Amino acid sequence: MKLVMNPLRTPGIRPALRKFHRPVLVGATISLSCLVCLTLSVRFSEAQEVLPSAFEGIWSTTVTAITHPDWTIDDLFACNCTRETYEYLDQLLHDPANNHLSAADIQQAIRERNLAGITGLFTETAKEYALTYDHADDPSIQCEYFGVFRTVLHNDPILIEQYADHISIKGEDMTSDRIIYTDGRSHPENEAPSPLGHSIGWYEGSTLIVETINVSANIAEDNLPIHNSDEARSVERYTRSEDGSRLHMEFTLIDPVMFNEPLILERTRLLTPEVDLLDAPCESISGEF
Amino acid sequence: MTGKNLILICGALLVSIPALAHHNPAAHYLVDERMQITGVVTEFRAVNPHARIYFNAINAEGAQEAWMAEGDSIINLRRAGWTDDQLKPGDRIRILGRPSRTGSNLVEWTFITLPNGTEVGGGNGQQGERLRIIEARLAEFRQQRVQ
Repeated sequence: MKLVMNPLRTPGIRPALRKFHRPVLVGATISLSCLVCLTLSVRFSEAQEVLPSAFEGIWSTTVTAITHPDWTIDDLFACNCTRETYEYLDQLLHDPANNHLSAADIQQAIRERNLAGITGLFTETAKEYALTYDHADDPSIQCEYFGVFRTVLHNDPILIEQYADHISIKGEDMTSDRIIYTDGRSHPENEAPSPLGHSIGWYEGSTLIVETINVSANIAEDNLPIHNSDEARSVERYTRSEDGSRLHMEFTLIDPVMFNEPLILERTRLLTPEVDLLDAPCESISGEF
Repeated sequence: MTGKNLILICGALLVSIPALAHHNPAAHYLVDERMQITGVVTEFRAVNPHARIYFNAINAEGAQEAWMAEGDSIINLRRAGWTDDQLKPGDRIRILGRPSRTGSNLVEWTFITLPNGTEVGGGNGQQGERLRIIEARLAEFRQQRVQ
């Protein structure tokens, strides 16, 4: 499934224009071009308002920075969770009636609630896939890099670098480095799906929006577990806290083959300039023992 | 898996901790079961996606068997203060972890007890250490709420 964001490339526009006389056509084309230019310039000016460095830096999750003093108690139990799961977490943590629950109890309850929320959105195709999928078939065990959704949802630190025309997001280990175009371009037409797909971004106020399409079928998150078809697309919304120390992500996966409605997961990272991105060789254990 | 030092522990005795790893531990391990085994290190491999310990253990018949244990990624172990020669050939270690799902001589470690009795974590996702930290913070949070 291809999404065409550029109105000039929307099917049906050109045939409609042929109905007009040439002067009208020229006038309409100029007007439309001006509209596009205006839209792009607004996007750029919004980007300029946010730049420089609004989202730049190394951002960590609790998985690799558990001892950071700025995590709240809620953060320590956070995951790639649905809004409903976070509401349940809030109840478990802040209602004194739940004081008998250990941290392990709460982790388990949150995991179960989140899984129920996610699998409750599964289509029949997704249910069948989940029944037959064997974790041993995960290609990352053979050192294959993650696709884009799994990269977005992974736990390791990320380095965000912002430029005038694109954003770079780099990770560690088996994640893939991403480029998000913010120069106003549209998604390409008739592009074959690939593990990273094609990402464009723009700013809405102080929120960074990233839309990704053309993603090949893959494991989107193996622990939840989520698999995506090649009809999937995603929208990421990144918002930085007022003091700049926290980065909230809302990830929406739209995949009519695997989910009956959009799946929305949320997670917060902390700015951790003291952290370095690390690298090491990957060695598969396949064939041993 | 017949080591005389090996104890299979029912999953109910230890909580199943959410998986946070690069790939799901269920690919190779019985995630709701635990085992202990003692052995002597032959090699420590500082690699991704998981650091590995090769070691020898004595089985129920008294014969030596080769084993392999998997832990967290080496980059996250380094971040937690591990070095690439954290374990050396000849080190005698006791491992608590998840057994192989196929019955092979494979274990995913959660905690390792070193020759001097020190317990170190470094398991997949460092879940054991993380849970201890969260338990402490939760107790502190509840205490502050009372005051």
